Amino acid sequence: MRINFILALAKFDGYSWLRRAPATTIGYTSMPLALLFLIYVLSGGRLVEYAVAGGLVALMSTTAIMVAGSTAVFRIQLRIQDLLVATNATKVEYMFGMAVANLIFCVPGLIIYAVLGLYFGLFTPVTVLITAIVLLLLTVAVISIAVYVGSIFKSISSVWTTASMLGVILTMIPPTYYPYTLLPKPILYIVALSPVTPASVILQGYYGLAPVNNYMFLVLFAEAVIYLSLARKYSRWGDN
Amino acid sequence: MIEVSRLTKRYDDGTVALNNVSLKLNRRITSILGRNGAGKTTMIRIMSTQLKPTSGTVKINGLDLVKDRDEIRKIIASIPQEIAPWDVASPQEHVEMFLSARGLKRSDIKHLAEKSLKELGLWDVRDKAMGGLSGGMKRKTFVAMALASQAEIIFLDEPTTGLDPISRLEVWSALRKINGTIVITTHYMEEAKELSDEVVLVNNGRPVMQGEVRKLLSRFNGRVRVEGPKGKYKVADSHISYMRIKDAQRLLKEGYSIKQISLEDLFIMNGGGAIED
Repeated sequence: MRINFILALAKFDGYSWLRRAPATTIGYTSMPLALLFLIYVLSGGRLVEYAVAGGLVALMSTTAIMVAGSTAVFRIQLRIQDLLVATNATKVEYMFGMAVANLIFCVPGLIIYAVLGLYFGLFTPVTVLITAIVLLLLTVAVISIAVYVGSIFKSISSVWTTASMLGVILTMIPPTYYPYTLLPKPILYIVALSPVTPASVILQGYYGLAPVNNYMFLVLFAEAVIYLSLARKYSRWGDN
Repeated sequence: MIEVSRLTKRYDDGTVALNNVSLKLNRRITSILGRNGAGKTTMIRIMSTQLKPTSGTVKINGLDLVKDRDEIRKIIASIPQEIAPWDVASPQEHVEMFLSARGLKRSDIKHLAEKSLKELGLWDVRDKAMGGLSGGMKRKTFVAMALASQAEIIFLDEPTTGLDPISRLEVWSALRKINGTIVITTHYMEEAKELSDEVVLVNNGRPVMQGEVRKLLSRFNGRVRVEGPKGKYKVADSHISYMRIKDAQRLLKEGYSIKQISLEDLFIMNGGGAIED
């Protein structure tokens, strides 16, 4: 894996955009922050810690799912993927480059949530480490889904529609903004197909908002590995 | 050296884009000429490892296109026909990203990008977003990528389409300075004639003629193209025939016009019709 190329692609796709249109970051951050505000108002502040934990997870997963749109634009509209296919760049390097490019946009959001997490006393050295691991695994899993979606459709509008729908399914149905203990176990296992579910369950547990469920680490790790392998095998990369 | 043997490409919808093509390309600059849909782009996409052939073999500098794909990708650079710039990135960011994808060292990337951007007159706009540049500058940025690539073999699919005459000359000048072998597709006769050491005329998925332009045309020394009310070939609204100068002069009185035989005529004689749009 060539880190130089991953960073060059991230600079080309993400940093160049951020430099010339910094307001784009607002789009990536606005939805989780709006939900945080809504939950704060509706729960009278009682569920705000859930909203902070859920907001972190939602921010990373919605940013990751946006990679579907970027890869579709590069493949269908700009044909930059064709340009790269005939080089030494690999599909996985391309995936990670596009991922880092999109993650650049959620940095301001991450900073806001870091401040909120500190304010509400969610962070200790252990929970910071756990959060970093969970967000990394979550990002790998969701980006794999996004890259696959971005590579299979013939039109960009189909990719955007599917990505928007997936964004809702992946982030709103799982226990992102509410305690996972509210879900009956069979339903929890079903929604655990979305990597957002194990990520939320782990963070809620370690933030002291719900019982710790370490099995969800296995689920999240397995999903990251499986979704990455599937994307690597089945997402389109040239004709090969 | 590129050796193509019995190459066929059949797409999923049944379209046969290339039909049992065999040819050797070993000159410095080769132009593949043909009308839209003749198979030029399919040929260049296969040779540059973007498409798999249905059958047949392609060898590039002795490496097999299918078995040695990764090795081939180290020695080639390919700029697709329909590529468009990422509007928020600059020409320099485009070139540097491409060089990084090709695996060049970071220390070389800056230097090569600067050299190629200067060569193509893009240095002053190197840091501007592509969205604000003219169509010619956008196209030249892609040629700058090829120029900087250091590849042994460069494939350019219609590199000058949409360029104004001055930009086209700048691109030709830059291409002549590339050290490697260049294969371009074009439907501009003048470009093929001015730029190439060899041309391959393609029609209906098959090469119909190959060679140096001068040698190909020399076969018709003493003959001219005659256009008038009647002729052997009908191309758009024109009726065209080819004959000796002596015979053609007699037709002048009947309203026929006479022209020197060009590359386009070779194509018409081989059943291709007019090439340039």
